[in-house]
Amino acid sequence: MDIVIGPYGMQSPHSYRRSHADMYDDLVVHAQHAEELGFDGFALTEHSFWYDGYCPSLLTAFAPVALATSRIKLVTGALLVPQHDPLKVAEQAAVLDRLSNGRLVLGLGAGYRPEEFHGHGVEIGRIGARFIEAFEVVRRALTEETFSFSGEYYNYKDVSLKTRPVQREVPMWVCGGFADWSVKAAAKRGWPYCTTGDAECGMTVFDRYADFAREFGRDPASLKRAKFVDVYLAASDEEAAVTIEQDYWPAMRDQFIGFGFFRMFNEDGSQVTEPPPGMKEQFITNPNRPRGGPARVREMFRPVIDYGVDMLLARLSWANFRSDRMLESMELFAKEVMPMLREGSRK
Amino acid sequence: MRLGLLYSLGPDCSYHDALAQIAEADRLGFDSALFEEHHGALGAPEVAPLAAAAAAATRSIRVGPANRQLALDFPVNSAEDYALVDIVSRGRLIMGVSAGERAGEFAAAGVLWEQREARFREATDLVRTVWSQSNVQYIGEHYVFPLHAKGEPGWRREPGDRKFVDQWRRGQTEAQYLPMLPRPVQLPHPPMWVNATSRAVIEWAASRGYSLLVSSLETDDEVKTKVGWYDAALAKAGRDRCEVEVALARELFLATDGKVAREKALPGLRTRIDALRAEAREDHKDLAVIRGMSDEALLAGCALYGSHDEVLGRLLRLKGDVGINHLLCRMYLPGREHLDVIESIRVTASQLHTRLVA
Repeated sequence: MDIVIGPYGMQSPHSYRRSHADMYDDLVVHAQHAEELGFDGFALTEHSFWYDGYCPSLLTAFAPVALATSRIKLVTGALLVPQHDPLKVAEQAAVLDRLSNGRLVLGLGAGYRPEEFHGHGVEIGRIGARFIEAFEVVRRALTEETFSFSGEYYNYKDVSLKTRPVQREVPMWVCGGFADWSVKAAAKRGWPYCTTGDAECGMTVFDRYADFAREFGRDPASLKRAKFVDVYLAASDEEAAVTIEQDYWPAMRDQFIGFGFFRMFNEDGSQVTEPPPGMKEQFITNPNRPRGGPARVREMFRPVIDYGVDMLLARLSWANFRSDRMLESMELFAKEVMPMLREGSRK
Repeated sequence: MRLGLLYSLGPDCSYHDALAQIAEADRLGFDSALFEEHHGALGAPEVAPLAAAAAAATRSIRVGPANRQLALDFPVNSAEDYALVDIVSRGRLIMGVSAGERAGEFAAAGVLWEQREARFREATDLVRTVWSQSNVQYIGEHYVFPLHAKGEPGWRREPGDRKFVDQWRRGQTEAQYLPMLPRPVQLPHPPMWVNATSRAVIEWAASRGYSLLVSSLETDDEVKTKVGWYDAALAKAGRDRCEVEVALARELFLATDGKVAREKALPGLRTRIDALRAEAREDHKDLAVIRGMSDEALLAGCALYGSHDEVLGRLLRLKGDVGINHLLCRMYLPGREHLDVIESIRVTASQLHTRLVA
């Protein structure tokens, strides 16, 4: 099992403003640290047009990291491919794969915010259909010498990338959250699937993945699975509780509202700016979001280990964590949780 | 005259070597290192990662694309990519942009070749707008940002007459205005260098106050003509050469002995010209500059090779008579040894740079 740290969003939220230039310098330090601590991968994630400067261009942001590290994999988790020209994504991926000497792992997602699509000149329309085509274009551009593609959204004729990636097959993941269409599309084509978990962040998504695979006559054992887990790790349960209350939840809440997870409106038509009652408690007590001191976090990782996944993305930090806090958390995870994850995955 | 490096890193070139060369040039006081975008065998197809990597490997040198073809995809994506390069380099981005010179690249991207200049002009203005202003909309003939923005052609900021709501309290909206974030470090925006592809583009660039970059496939005489058009248009727009840079790209081979330099330079240069000719499509009249010219004429008119004094003489004329104030040297061509390029960068710094700056 590959243990990946991140994804980092490179956000500078209102509750903790920082210089982006400094944050991108820190990013390199974090990646070097993660490599030293034995993580297998380092992940970044993207959104556009968001007030806190959320990273909009992963394959550019990874270049300085590629230069400063030598072993750790560079994981996009996720690059929202329908908001780019998929051929250009493939070209950038090939260049970055060469820069990093074959360490790119391409997780592609669809995106869901109308502003982001529209700001990139793309009609949001049928997200799923567009994503499936875009994924296929990137895959074929990176693996086939010359390819043609004719679809509803994208058309290419006899295109060949002369600059090839170092890896014969750049690993590609469908980062589909848990949407049914994405699970089905991935199972149908045998594409590896990375999930945030079902609505409760649990592992049942993979049961659906396997069911769909069987439906399409594909052996579920041949599929690759990745799980994204939000972790709040601190030296003790008490400290974690404080972190959640002070840093984690406020930032999460703002983003949930801003990204439209609560589609609720006041009588005058304005957006409801507070999450529904019980949401916070549900969020904090969710058994699938490991939280607390090392012992408790280890225990809460049981279901993931028992299920067995090929890649684990552990997000250890949130937008308004200080850099040194993030590094502490990373060290703690490597020392206290990683050995147990490695041991468990060997079984 | 400032000195920079120009790279066309095709599949046979080592990125690692190129970055080591740029790091050396950075230490020796070179001003820039630009990467040419090329969607075939002659260069890297996407150079934002290379520019960001070069920035990470250096401290002072400016970096960027030589010819980002903004019209090949939606320009705001390029604005985002290169804003990040400006951030990681702490304000060292030069944004070289081009209307495009190869019909094949437009066909592959599904963009009409005939529209390239109109699209390019809009795209460049759109990038400048989202880089320098927040919460804007841009309405053009070819591009609308955001997609459903309505109004008169041009760009405008969000009016201030509505109740302010923090973006994180807004929820999902059908936005009419958007901020492109994070924005570049340089104010009001990173310098835009427009490739001198056609007279119309040159004159438009001057009217907008964009800098000019003349390609390495123009003879000295053609350079003079093109810069003449640019200067005239600058004056007409009430602008001044103090606002802009006028850059020229050249292949550069230096040696103490002119004969040695020629022997070293010619094989690589001929290979490059052959490759350029092979991919130019006659039916679309692209790469017009190399049509109808013999290899010899191209080599004599465009490339800089010879002894220190020979090259210096030509450069002083370009500086004094034409007003070129930035020279982009392409030294790393396929087949040329890495250490030879490093040596060449050192010689250029000591023999040319010191004489050209003052």
